Amino acid sequence: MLNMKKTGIILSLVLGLTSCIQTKYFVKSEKDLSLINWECNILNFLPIKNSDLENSPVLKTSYDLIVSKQYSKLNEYLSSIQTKNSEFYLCKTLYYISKTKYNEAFINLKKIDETSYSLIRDLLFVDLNYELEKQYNSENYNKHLQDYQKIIDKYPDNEYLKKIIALRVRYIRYNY
Amino acid sequence: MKKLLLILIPIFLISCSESKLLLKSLNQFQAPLNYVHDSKIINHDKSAKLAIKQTNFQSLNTLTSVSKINHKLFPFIIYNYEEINLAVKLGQSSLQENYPDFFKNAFATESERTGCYLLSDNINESDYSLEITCDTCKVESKYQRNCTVVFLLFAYSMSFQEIGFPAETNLLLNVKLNKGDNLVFEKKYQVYTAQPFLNVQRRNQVKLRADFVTNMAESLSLSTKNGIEQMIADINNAIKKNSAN
Repeated sequence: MLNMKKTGIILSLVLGLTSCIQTKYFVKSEKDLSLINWECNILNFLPIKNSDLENSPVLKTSYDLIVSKQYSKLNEYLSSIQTKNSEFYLCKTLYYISKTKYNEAFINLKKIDETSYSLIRDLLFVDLNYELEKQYNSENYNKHLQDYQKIIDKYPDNEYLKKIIALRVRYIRYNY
Repeated sequence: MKKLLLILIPIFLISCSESKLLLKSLNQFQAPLNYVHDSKIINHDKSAKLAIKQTNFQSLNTLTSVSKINHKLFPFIIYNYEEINLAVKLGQSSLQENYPDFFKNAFATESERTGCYLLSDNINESDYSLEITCDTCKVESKYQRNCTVVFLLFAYSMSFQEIGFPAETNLLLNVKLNKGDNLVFEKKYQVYTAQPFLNVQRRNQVKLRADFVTNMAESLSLSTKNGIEQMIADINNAIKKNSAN
């Protein structure tokens, strides 16, 4: 009888210990119905057309290197460029966004002055403002919504932009 | 009989407490309703004046509620599976903005952008009066908790899982446009939206539940947006037709 008790206690101790080790606790959303993979959103949802990439070798190379996550190579590539024009600053901005260095990205974004990049500049300006405010826990959903509203009203015929902003608003909605 | 009761009573108590615990947890979160108006601003001739009369906007529940759908238990010798499905109904308590006020503001903003009329607060001075009745405003979703236990020879493995399902909104709006005492136009708008979740990795329980509430509010917000856009397009047509006659 005493032996049985001992065995019982030992067995329950072993079970208790192994359960502590093996217990898993995880939470997930309904996979099949998920729509967006936000993690690569910034690059997947930028208003850059294929023609923009074809016309600019700097932008094309930088874009490819960001997509393949070769950041050190991109840094080297950008350091080797002599002409510091809007394209260069846009690539630098995208590089720093990919590295989540939003302050540096913001500094480079302000240097973009070419009108052909005004849309992407305006959009990234609001995105970066949000990311910076998030770092200090001071993000305000309605304020960012108004900022995106201004961009939509500034470029009313751009249907692609509407889709991009809808995704941005979704992101803010779930992450503020 | 006694043994059966001893098994059934704890199961009943656990499943009752599950819904209360989830409700307590969901009540910590409030989600925003406001959205971006992506319609193109149209510069119509806004000579007609329209006053809105909103009625019955209380069809959205005051409090968010959780009720049990079912409780499944599969007790096998080496494999046990338990699943509790809970139905969550969105209430005003989970929203940052008051729903009738949000609707009124969204309608006013959209009217300013695309309406061929000017909104007025005074019914007596207006050419048209609009009566919007919200007959149904239901936002529902399912939340599942499941637990799997596998007994091995000297060990057992246990895993818990929580799944938030996409929110579904059913919005039924009844609109009547009057010119004086004459009915110009009447229509029922039924908007149904199933709002998918964002595919965000590395969620924890708190984040999942916060996202779950946000998903329900987002579903209501976008359904309202769709309803308002359809409504204003029809009001524009009705006013133009009426003016032509």
